[in-house]
Amino acid sequence: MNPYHHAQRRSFGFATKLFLTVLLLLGLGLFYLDHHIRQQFEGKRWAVPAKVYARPLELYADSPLTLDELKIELRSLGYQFVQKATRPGQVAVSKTKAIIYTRGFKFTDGLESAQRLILHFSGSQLTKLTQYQGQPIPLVRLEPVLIGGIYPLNNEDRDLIQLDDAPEALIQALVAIEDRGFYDHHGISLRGISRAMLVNIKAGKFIQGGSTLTQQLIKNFYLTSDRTLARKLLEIPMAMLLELHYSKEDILEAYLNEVYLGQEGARAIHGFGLAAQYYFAQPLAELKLHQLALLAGLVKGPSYFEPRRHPERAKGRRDLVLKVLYEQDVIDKEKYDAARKASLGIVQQASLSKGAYPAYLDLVKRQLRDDYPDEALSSEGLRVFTNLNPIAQDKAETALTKTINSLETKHGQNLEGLQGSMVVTDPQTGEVIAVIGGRQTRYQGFNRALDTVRPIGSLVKPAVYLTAIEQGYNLVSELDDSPFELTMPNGEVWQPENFNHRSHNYVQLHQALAHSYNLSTARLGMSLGLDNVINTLERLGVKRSIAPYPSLLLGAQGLSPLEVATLYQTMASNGFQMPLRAIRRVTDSTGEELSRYPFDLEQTVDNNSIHLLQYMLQEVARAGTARSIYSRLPDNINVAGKTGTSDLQRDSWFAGFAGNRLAVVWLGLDDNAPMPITGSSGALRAWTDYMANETLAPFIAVTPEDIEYLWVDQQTGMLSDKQCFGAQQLPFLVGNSPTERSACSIRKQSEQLPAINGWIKRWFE
Amino acid sequence: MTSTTHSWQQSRRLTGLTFLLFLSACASTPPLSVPPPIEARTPPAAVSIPMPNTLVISALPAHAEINKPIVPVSPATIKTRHQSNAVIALLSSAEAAQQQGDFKSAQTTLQRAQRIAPRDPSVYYKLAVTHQNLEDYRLAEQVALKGVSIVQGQRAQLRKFWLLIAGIRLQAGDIVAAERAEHTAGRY
Repeated sequence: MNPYHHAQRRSFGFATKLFLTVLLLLGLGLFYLDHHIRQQFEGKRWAVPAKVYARPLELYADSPLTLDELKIELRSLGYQFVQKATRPGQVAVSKTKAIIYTRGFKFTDGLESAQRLILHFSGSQLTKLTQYQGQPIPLVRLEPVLIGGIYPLNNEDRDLIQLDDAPEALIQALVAIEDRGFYDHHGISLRGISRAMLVNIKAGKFIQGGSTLTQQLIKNFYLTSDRTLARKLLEIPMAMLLELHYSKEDILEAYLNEVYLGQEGARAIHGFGLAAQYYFAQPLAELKLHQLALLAGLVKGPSYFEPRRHPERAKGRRDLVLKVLYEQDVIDKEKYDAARKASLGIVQQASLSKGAYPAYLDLVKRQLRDDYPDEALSSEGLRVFTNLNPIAQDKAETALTKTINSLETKHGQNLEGLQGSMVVTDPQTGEVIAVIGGRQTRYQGFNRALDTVRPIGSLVKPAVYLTAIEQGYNLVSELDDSPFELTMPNGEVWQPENFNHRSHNYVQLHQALAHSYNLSTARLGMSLGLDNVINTLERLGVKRSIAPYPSLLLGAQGLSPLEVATLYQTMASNGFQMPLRAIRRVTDSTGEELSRYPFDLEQTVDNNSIHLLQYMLQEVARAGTARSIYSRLPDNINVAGKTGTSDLQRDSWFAGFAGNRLAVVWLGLDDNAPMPITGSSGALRAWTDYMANETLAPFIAVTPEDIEYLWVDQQTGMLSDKQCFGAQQLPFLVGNSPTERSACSIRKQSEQLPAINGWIKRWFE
Repeated sequence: MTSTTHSWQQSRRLTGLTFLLFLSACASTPPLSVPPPIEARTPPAAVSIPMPNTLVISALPAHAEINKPIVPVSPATIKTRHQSNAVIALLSSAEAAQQQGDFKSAQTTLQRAQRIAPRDPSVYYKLAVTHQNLEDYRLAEQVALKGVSIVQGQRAQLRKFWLLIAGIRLQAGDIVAAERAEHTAGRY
């Protein structure tokens, strides 16, 4: 054989093999790419995170709603404040009146249609509700604020829209400015690339890029990972493969939800739905032409054209988009001119309601996790309706941060880095209406309302006193407040002290609680039995296991603010234990109900005992350690509650309730260092500030039939008379009242008797 | 507590004392009602020796400060509250749902009513009946008991709620407890 031929054949054979190998590799590569891109696309398309909604605001005549509160709600909903409300999502406000054009919402239990309403306000009430040029209506629900979604681990935020919901002008603008041949090409566009080059050369600058929308979509899929040259080259086959599998509509819809449009701190703004909220605080469907043109223009360079930082650049870009639309006859001259003249209309602060309530959302997720697997939550498009009240949340946040800042200013270094958390519930229904996880209320970090388990100090005392009442003590039972020592089985000595390191000898039961005396409480608790006190705590709603140490009586037990709220909820709701509920119901993506979390309760303390306890907790607020409350709250608002300060003042607590709000406040340092504040001088301030800004209903304790109110002498606890100095009216269980009478009351009685005799005599004569 | 707080408190005490002296000079008869007792946070130095004078003085400002007795709420005050149109509308639509056998919808509507009027006995009565219809007897009874706690002192209402509880217990198969409830109803 000719060696030349041989070599030729060998090299030919080698080339063939090489060619085949390369082909095979390419094929494999393509197959891999195809698989990969489909997986990406399907994953993004079907992973529709659960949408979480706040409670809808109920509007009705005589409801406790101020105009300012309505404004908070409407701002969270992204309403436009205008002179004349002519479109859904607009409101016109005057001094005592608001005209709202609602957007309407399809609730599980019925449709609230979009309509124009007139609301009249007076004082702290919505006094009248009528349809525009129509009749008064009894009740309307506003659409609920969308407060967030439950996303898979990558934690990307989206406000998913469907192609049908996208404004026509947006699609037209996108196609016109980014990819004119979108509906004709197969993923890549040679014409597009050459046209772009021509345009760029003509203009002498870079105006158009050659990437199709499909290529951009692929680019966006990988935006978070690194962008290598290899990736860039892979875009072309990937785009073609994508076009092979999916329709133009599917690709466009994915694009609308995927494209990167801005950055808020660490948070990337993806998709036009979220961008509309981020830049204009409005739903995408309500944006005007000039706003849509700006969003379409941003695609090219969200940070270069960032309208808040570079308004001139952004306007230039927007006007270019408008010009292209005009030149392509998509819009007429009139529309073009009007849109060009409009200002950018960007809201100053990015007011995303989504992401505004991280601590509440955290609670929602935890309560959902019992019933739904993570995967279902982040991918099945569920809708979760919660009890969050954005108005209450707003007020609680203001009160807490204000208090923390002023305490920090006052105490300087000693309180640097002061933290706090808060839980607000409806004491009648057990619905959780606000949660704050830390002083940076929008920071999605450590949730102190749920996860800080700190000694509750004197917040535990109501459980001790309730146990006493149930064992037959009355409010004037005498307690020993003298010092004592207790040697524990392990040899340690427990030596409780009063806050002021003094003893008060003998005190009446109700006074000991009002002033939060430690010695008498500890003595009382020891005589009642630790197990009985623990049993009471459990009946009040504490679920965690409690160790029977004597220090428990003074609050050594740690609880989270949410657990404390559960405890006080039972006291506020007449002895009915209630699960604190963040969720009302869950529906699937079509609105079909999947589960509901109804009002639930279980009576664990009888009416009489709880009434006596409620009296004492009111006394704490009227005359005890929390009496500063009434320097801010009006006299006619009955409230009840308890201060708490843990050992060495490491924790400052207050838990208390009015008729329609229950709030628990915790203040402390993350490193658990002692502080120069107590429950009264710390947490109570935030609580009072919050309550003073709420529209409150007074706490009403209806007197049960077995309870009688009697006049007793404050000093001795003996039965007294209304007209005797130092007499106070106190509740007693019938048959368990003091028997001894004060001298004054005996005298008053003897004075009154002849008078009555005289009156009866006259009547019969 | 800091020393500034002390002196501030003392000055408030003095003001309170002066105010009280002024009041007592004006008043010819003793005050009709006297506020609840207050002990200052700073009791006498030596605990074993009672020092009545000091105690009286330290207690005085508190009296002046907190002239806010807790007034017990009589059932009559509650009874006179009127039902708002919103609640009437919700109750009647719950009633309609109830009649059509749509108890879940009735429950949803009644909970809306409860948020608006959490002290309205009819809301709890209807809600208890709804749970009874849903055959959740435990919850039905608890909701009815919540109603009982709200209508304290209103005999007709109490009778109505206890009869409802008797019915619920009977349906749940607890005849003894049902009889007990009936007996309680009989007291009103």
